[in-house]
Amino acid sequence: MSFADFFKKKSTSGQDAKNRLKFVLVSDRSNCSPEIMEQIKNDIINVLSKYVEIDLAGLDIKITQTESEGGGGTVPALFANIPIKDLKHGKAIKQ
Amino acid sequence: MNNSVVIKGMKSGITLILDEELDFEELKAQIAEKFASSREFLGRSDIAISFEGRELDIDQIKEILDIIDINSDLNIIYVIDNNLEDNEVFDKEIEAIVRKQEEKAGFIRVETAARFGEFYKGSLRSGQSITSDNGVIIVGDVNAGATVIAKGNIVILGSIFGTAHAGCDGNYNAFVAALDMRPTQIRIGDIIARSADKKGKLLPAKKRPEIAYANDGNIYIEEISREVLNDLKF
Amino acid sequence: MGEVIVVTSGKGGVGKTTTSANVGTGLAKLDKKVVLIDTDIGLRNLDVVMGLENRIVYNLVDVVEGNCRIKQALIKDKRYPTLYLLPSAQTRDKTSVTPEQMKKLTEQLKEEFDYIILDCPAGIEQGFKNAIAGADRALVVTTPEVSAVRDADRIIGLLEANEMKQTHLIINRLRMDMVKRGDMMSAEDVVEILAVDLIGVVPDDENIVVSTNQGEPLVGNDTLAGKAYMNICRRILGEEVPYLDLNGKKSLFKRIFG
Repeated sequence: MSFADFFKKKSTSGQDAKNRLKFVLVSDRSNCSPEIMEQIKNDIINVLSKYVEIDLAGLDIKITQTESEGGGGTVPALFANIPIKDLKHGKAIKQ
Repeated sequence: MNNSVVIKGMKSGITLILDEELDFEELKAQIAEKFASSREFLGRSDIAISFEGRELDIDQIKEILDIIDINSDLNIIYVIDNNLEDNEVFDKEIEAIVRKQEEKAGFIRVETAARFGEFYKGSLRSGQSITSDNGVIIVGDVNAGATVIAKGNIVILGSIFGTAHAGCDGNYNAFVAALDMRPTQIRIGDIIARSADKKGKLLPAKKRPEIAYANDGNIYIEEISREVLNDLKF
Repeated sequence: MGEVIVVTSGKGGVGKTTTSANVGTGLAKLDKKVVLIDTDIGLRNLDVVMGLENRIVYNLVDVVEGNCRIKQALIKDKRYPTLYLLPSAQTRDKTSVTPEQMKKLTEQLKEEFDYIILDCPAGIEQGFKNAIAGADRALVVTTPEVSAVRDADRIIGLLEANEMKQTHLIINRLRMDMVKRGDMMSAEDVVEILAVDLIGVVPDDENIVVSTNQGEPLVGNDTLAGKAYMNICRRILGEEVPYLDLNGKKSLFKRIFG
């Protein structure tokens, strides 16, 4: 599942290419390596897992670009799509 | 032992070291004696001569040469100026004279570089090159972008698509021969011939071996035949 | 004083050499005095694309090493009298030339020529550094593929870091049929991603293969690629040239193809 899927009904390979490139270039330009991304992802999972049960298969965390609020071009932003299976109401907190 | 006359051998002849003090008449007698006694040893050959140790004028040199002529079987073909000690120049001069005599005698002289060849097995690909002070024989192909540079001849037992430079130090008698001659460029001495401008298509493979040689500033490529071989000067 | 333009891409095989040949030839067709320099030492190609491979006697390395004068190494084109090629050395490697030497060479050539076009090798190592050393302007070539665009982005970053005065983008091998189907990024997509000024879009045209086979750049002839390259040349000279319709049919919408 890709970022574009939220806005477009059908994804073409051309759009896939564009979106993938956007992500990869953000990490290229910000020198954010895939390893760092993996660590960020794991840390987020660890923190959230204390409170909720996460659907790991549907997890999507990326650095993307967004229009800066001042309107002066684009700035990097963390994009996270974390489906929750179950809220852990009143259960003992693990870890 | 009397040291007023010393004969010293060098590559293309002898050097006569003469006493500076001795009376010239006395010196002549000693030279005569020296050469007469070494007649057997010096043998019979064409040589050059130079003098050291004493200033001599033209007439004195002539007198000495006459004495040597009488007292030995040597044939003095060249007298080296004492001020001109550069051996290279000397050797070249000698070689030129010797060559002239050989030509007179009907010899076919082969350039030193052309007389020897280095063998290479395998094909030369683009960017590879062979450089040799002798001739080069390649058992394989020379692809486009590859270069063979030799002071002597170049023989390719295969196809040549690249560049071959024979006689690279200025020998216009060098040649390039190949079983399949379709080169980008052939150079002999400083003459350059390039292939015709073709439009993308490779020329068809040659059925017969060909040879490239220089004549009057042009490079010719012909099938190897008896006539062509007879005309080769290497 | 002439202008030095480097044609670069980062990724190999996107059409740097073809672009160099066509831009150089096109500028010569427009009566400019042009010299093309192949800076890809060890993997020379510009000579065969220009059809001048059989005239090479001296090369770039010979010039910088002082084995010959610049004039001796310049090969006059067979069609255009104001076009020259300085070929690369095939039997040497990229370390044979330094950025300082390249800069000195381009400075000298600037006095004689209107445009000095440098065909840059793929990669970001010594060869790239040599090629951009003396350049006033860069043409970054890319194709609408993720790998090529990503490398183009890296190159643009490096050019900015090296304070290149002007950087323009050429999008090569665009296939309109695929863009329409959505199976290829459009020129707009690529420009949006790279955020750099576009100077031309060249369609994927089989005539390019034919012209390379024949060693005769097709710039200026009646093919789509030939027209696209000529438009790039005019834009380099500062002319405002509308973008071509690459559909081959008249289109009501004005788009930035061509």
